[in-house]
Amino acid sequence: MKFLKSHLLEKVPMKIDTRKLETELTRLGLEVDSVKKFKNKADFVLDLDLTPNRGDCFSVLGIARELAAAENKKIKQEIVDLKKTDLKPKTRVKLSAQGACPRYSFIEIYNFDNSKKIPNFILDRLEAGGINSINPVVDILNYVMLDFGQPMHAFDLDKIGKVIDVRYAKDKEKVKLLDESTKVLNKNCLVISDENQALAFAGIMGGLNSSVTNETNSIFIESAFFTPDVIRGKARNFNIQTDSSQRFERGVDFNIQIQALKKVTNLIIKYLSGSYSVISTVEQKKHIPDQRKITLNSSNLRTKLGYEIKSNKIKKVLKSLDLKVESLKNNFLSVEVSSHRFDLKIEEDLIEEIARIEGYDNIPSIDLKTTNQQYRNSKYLQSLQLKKYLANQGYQEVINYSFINKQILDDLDIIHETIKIKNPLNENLEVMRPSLMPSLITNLKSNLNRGETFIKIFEEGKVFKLDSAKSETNMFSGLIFDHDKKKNWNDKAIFDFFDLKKLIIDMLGYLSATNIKFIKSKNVFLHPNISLDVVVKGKIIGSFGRVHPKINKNFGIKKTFFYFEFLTESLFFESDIKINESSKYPSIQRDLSFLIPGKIDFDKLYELAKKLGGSNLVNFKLFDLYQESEKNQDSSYAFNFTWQSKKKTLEDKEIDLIVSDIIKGFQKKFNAKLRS
Amino acid sequence: MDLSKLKADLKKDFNSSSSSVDLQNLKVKYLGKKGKITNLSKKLSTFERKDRPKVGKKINELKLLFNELNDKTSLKIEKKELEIEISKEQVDVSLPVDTSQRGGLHPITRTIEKISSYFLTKGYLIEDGPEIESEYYNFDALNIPQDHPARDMHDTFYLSTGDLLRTHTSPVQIHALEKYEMPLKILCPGKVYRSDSDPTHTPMFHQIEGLVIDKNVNFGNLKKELVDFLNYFFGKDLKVRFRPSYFPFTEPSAEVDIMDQKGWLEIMGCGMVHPNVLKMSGIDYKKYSGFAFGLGIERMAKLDYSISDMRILFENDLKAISGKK
Repeated sequence: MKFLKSHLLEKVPMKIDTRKLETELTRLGLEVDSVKKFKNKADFVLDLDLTPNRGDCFSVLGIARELAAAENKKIKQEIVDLKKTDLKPKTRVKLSAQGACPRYSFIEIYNFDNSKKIPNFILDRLEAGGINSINPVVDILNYVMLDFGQPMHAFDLDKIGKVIDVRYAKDKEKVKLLDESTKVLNKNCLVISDENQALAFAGIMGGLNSSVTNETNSIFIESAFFTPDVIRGKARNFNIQTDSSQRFERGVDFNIQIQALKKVTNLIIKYLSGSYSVISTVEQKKHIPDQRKITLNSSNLRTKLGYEIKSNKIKKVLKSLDLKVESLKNNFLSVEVSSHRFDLKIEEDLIEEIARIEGYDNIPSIDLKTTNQQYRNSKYLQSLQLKKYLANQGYQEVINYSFINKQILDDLDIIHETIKIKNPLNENLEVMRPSLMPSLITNLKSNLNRGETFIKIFEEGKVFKLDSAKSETNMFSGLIFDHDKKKNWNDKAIFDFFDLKKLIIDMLGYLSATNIKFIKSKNVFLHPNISLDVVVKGKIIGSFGRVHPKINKNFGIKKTFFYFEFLTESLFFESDIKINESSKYPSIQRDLSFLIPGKIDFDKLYELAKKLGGSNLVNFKLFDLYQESEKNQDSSYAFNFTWQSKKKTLEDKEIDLIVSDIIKGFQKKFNAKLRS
Repeated sequence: MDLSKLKADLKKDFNSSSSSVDLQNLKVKYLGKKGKITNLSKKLSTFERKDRPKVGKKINELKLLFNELNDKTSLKIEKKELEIEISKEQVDVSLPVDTSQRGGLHPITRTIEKISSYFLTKGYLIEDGPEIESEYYNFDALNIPQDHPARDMHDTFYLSTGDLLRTHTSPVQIHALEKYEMPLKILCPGKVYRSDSDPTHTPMFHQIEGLVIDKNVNFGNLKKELVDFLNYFFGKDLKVRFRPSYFPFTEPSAEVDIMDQKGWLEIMGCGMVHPNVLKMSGIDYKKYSGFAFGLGIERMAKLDYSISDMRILFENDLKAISGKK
């Protein structure tokens, strides 16, 4: 809402510095977005960012009321009177749509000259208000709208029929609007029509065919009250936003229609000459809103705000806002809401009015005394702990949009039914991501393009799938790319699968995970032979490994990289760590080296060693490994065993027996040869 | 045997020894099986009976002297030897180490943590809510009926499923009101979505929502709670302004501004929970009242990290988000 400072002060005669005015309006909840000097004049344009509840402030009169209340001033009342006339309007109006238009006032003006000039103060006020000048009649209508808040529409009297009907549109009924667009309406849209056709989209925009032009000399002016609910959402649905719809959907004073017509008529006659009919009004009385009465309990006011305001003060504030106040018994007041305040419905609304005029700054700060929430195991804290762990391991957290380009899913070979956005911002943001991989691989590519050679990133966020019962799931994923050929002088190792495996095991250990198993992974993103799934209590909670070569190919990434993903909530374990006393007795160590033919998984060797090593085997280490890449070559393993008992000192003799069992067992099961 | 000569030799020998090997040799020379002092002890019986105590005493004195000299010299030698050892261990400590892989949390996560850790100490529970919402939770239950002009302010993304992406974290209020017994004190950080993109708006961004419901919660409490928080966040006593505003789910409603170098800066929205919201969620609104507040994380991060273009936050240029030069 834009207007001239001088226009406002014409209604509230007072001297006020522009900066002060800006502060005052903002303090009242009418946020001043900007203040600009108007042309070269000693005047300012104020632009207010109005909240949707204050339809009444879409007029200079409405803002003047606020200023007067806050500054304890009186509004300069404008007496608008029209000289009597005997002319009866030629047009008849009927209200077919029940409840949509409770009040419809109109007047006809004849034989004016629409080529005359109207005074500059009107043109300036319109320009400051951001309203384009069209022709004198339309400008006068718009000016009165800016002034009083009542949108009006003029039809060329020669271009309309004898009977005006306010009715709902027929399904698919077309109307050609002033902006030359044709809208196909539905049964929920209100139109102004004559006997033949819809003339205007009621409350939103007039029609092109009946519009007022420079040649027009007689008009029919509509000044109506449309029910806000009927107008609401229509402009948005049809992608048009007008000064009229903006006001009607928020609510226009339902008692101002005739006043507005009188003012418009006076201005037209004064500047464009002509004659006029009497003003006629058609009403559906039962649909005109009630002058609402709200009961205010001043002790509720204290409870809500935290401090006491004297009842005289309360009454004074309410009266300054044009509300009628009547004292009831005890602390109760009955407040009658005026016809321009659509936003005042309940007691809390009145409490806000009083607090607002009194100033929020005057409300004291009071310590909050409430019950604290009982401690609940917080997922937030657990996921934060996990993020910090990875950050400390040198991983950078990233956050990506939840929507992605669909193409990337094809490149990843993902076949999930995705959730699509009906109105995406652009095609890169059209589907909800069903995995964090698309985001991370996008980050990888962009950082590779920036010349990075060592990338360790992770993200925690929701993924969205159409085909699962729970459509959104928190995931925790990471990606590692290391082809840094110029590593620091003391570090030559390139990140490999076993670095990832160590990271995952350490991370799970840090999170107090127990009973973890690893199985061959079937994750579609991962290389089938260089990946593992993490299993807890029979459920796969995550996967990690080298990214599948087909993804490298599809994304044009020539070099290998690694990926892990976990269901975030499966990573939150109940800690059941117990602190055990360590053994007081000495331990015994033995080293054994075997040559083992063929390819055997370490897991198998580990199982047997563990079984034969007995319950006192406390540590089993593979400290050297030599594997030939060719299939049937021998591999050489060097193991270190440690035995220790909590109950006694172990003797060499018993360990010798175990060692000989292990050697025999390895020979028998793996055809292993002991190396000397 | 001349005892005094032996004493002089002993002193001379210790004076001229310079390593722990020398000390070892002296031990053999004097106290070994055939050592000079040992030999003397063996010869004690050859002295006359009356002289024996005297000689014995002298021998003892020699032994004590040996120990004393040995201790003193060995301390000196150990110190010298350690110095030699240290002087051999030379490392160029100015050589560089690899600091290129300093990991870190995303600025948004860090800002959420900074805010949450404050409210955690104040007894708030951190709640999470769905990002895909129905019209009911995102709008209706928050007193924003169909076609309400307030919906225009929320450029909403609609989904193929008929649901929508939440436009604010306020729906979490409703889930919490339905899920928990009163009183209630929650904080909900999370992602929200609006169809908007320019240097100050991204189509996805983050908010934190707070909700307190109890008996006798008032606007004065809200003011205190938020002013305390803002002072904590910015680490100084701020000039804070509450000014009337409008949210359909609070009444009275306010915007909170803080004074910075350039003037008033809008920082968050808040208000007393609207009775309709409590009513719709089945809370006895005559018994309970409460306040709610919401703030944009990006805005706070922007102030904390002096970010000029919000879109940088989600482009994930590692150098940019890690704050590395």
